Amino acid sequence: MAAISLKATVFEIRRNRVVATGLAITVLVLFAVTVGPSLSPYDPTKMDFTALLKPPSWTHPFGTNSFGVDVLTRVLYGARNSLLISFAGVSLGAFAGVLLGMTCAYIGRWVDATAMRFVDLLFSFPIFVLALMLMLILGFGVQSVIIAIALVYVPNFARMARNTTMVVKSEPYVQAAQLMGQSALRIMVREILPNIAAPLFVQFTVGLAFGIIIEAGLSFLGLGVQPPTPSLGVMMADGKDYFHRGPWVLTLTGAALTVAILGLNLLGDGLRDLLDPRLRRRSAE
Amino acid sequence: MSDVTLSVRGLDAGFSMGGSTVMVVRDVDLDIRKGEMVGIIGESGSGKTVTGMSILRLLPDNAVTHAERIDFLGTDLLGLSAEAFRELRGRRIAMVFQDPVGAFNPAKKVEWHLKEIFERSAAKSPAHVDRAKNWHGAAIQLLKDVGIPHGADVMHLFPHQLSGGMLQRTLIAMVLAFEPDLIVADEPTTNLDNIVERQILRLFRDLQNRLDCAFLFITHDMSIAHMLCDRIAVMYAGRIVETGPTKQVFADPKHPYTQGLLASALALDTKTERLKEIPGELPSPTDLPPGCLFEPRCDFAKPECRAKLPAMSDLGGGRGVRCVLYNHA
Amino acid sequence: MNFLWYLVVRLGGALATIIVGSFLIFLIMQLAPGDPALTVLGDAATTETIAAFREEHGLDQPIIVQYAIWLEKAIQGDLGNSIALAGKFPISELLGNRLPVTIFIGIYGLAIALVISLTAGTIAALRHGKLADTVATSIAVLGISMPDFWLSYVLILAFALSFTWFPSYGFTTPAQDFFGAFYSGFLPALAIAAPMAGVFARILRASLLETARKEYVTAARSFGFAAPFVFMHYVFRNAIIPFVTVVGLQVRYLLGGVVIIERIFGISGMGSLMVDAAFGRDYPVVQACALTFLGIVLTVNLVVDIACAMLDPRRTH
Repeated sequence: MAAISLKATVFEIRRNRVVATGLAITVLVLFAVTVGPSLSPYDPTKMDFTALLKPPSWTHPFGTNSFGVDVLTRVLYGARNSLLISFAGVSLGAFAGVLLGMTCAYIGRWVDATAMRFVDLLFSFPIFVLALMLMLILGFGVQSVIIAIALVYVPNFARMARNTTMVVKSEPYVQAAQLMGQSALRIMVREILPNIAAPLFVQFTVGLAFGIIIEAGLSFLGLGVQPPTPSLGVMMADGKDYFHRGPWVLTLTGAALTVAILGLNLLGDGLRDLLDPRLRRRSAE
Repeated sequence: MSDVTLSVRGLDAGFSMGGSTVMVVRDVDLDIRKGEMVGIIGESGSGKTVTGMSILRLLPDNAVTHAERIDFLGTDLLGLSAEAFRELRGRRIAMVFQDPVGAFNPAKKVEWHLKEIFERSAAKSPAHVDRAKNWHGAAIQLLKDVGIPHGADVMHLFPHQLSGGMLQRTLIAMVLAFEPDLIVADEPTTNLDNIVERQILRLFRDLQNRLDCAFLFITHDMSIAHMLCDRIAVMYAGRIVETGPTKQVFADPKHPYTQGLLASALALDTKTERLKEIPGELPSPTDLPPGCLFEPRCDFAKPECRAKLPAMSDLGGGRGVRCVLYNHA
Repeated sequence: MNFLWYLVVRLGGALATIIVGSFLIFLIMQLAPGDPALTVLGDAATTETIAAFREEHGLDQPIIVQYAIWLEKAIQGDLGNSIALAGKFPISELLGNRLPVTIFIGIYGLAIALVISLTAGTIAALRHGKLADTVATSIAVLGISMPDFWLSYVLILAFALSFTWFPSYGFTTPAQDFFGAFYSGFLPALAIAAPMAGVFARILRASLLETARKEYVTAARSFGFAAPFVFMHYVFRNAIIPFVTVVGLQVRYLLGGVVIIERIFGISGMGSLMVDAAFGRDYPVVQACALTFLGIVLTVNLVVDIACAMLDPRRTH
């Protein structure tokens, strides 16, 4: 027994390092996208025809694009948009998913059975196929991307919220609250939600990472955010058009994207094990 | 002492983690003779399981063990390489586990388990090679010996399709297939319900009468120890505090801890109104009392108890106790 | 529950899902804006030609009737015609050309991901806490964090432009040249494989470590079985079950990656077909593609579930 707790301690220390790295990268990225643009001496839209498609240098660390705009500056602006879009999408998906999942777990019976089959169905669509169909209905643009990301995440959050609520629901304190005649809504918000928040938070962090990929992917295909709104996907789509002449535009933008995602993934990973080692089992299907 | 199967002197075991090491078993001496069943008795956390596992070298990688001497039928176990020790495991020293359900490979049928065991035991002698060739019949016979009459049917089942009691019998059959010289049983009935527990205990008593193998029986239950063991060693916070022939220890417990254990066991037996429990709880291995480990909970504690850990006093007749009350020798 | 019964139930479930799914897809496509008649006929459209077009394509019927007609035809293998492509090109023929390509690339990518992850995950678990583990785990998390379309370009830059080992564009189908398909499909397959390999390796490592702590592994060691035997028959054999489950769940990500990567490498598969159709507002094609993708996912899930049931006797016995 002593062995297990000791093992857990070392595990925690190792995980702490993961959390620390993830947190450091994430904070750095957040700092870069909030403060970064104002620090940059360049304008993200101002064209400079004297410096078209210049490779990375000291004056332009990420080089310039085909209009002579500093790529790093555009990356900072674009990343801000990409992060905001992902954040909005995952938040929306989390809200709808958690609401659905908790309601299902709370009501149970046929409501649960039907809704969960629907969730299973959503789970069976390849992510970009689902997003693509949605873009067709809603048209291309920022709002559609947000809704597409949300729709991708509804099943994840619904399933996780449902499974964890199922566990928590039978805990004595929830049953006590029910016996005291508290309303279902109150019990869900006050008693259940705080107790299932940890795994949902982890899912949110990791979701944020993949949300950025979805945004970038859709925009890259030209189905998402439309230029001139800068986003990492739009910039990469732009960069692919002259990839052979100026590969740095696409590769360095993507590298920045990868770093941001890496930070969020590490943070999510570390938190997952740090917050609750049993969490993975609880949220398992 | 020529018939001693296992002789352990000064066994320490613990776990190292992040630079620090916590010892959970200290200075354990143990002798088990051929045909004898020795019980280690203690609460959970007393180090009794770690003692058993460390003898078989089955502790996790972060475990630290050392001993002055571990002698098994004339072989110095400490001197054996990992590979040589593995060869010995199963064939010479085998183990029965606490949770029979968890001890089986869930992906394989019972027959797979038995077949592999027979194949592994084949290296023991030419007779074993023959037996391994006709393992199926031998397995059914062995299952019958441990109280499973319809062995042929059981063999086709997966572990999860059998009850805990059946699995424990099967596990015992597997251990017996090796014909080992020493069987370590770690709380083999704790996870079973009462009726099955009794059947398994009876099986152990049969085996003890039938085989001339040595047994190390680890338990927290005084009545089980009383029923099965020839000699017992009482463990407390990683150390043996009292040892001796079962009958004598039960008739006249010396150590205050043993007295407390017996009193609470008896209280349970006779359904006395008030249970005489030992006050307080087992100290943590990271925060042991300076002197006698039991001193904080002991009714007879004296100032000198806190000064230093009492040595094991030999009371004669194979009895020993680690307590200042008997330290006048 | 015996195995056959399990199969029947599972198959029935998949069939029900695809029917509900097909209706959902159909419904979504009805909601899509833009009149396909106008899209196709363009400015030259008159009231008469529009009406004729609608009648021809059954667009004047109520939705549920349209669905029933579509479903009936679909079951017979007739998925309608592409509206964008000239000459009433039958969609089933289109799919027949495109689907094998996507399946080839998908399986190729999956195979690469499996090879990488089985190796890396096993090494990481066996060398738990050591340098090899740290390296493998770090590369895995990096793999998960790389968008596959970005990786595609990095691979093109490295192995097609800097070193001209592989083609940067175009794909030879297996029917044209079997080995050429493996050669020209290598970079796209690798780009799809990388993120999956990361996910797979992590789950395999975690599963192996968790299984290695199980009591039956200690029991196996107590019998004196050799370490490779214990690893193969006890640890790996049981750890593979959650691994296979995750592989099945990842298929939807895999196909998502295919959609983008086919366009990057100029592969005429389902993915590029669907994106092109989306741009051209060729709704019947989008619809057929979505249904096909759903069908692939459901089929793979079915196969994976059966594989798991066979691997894990607790599920069927």
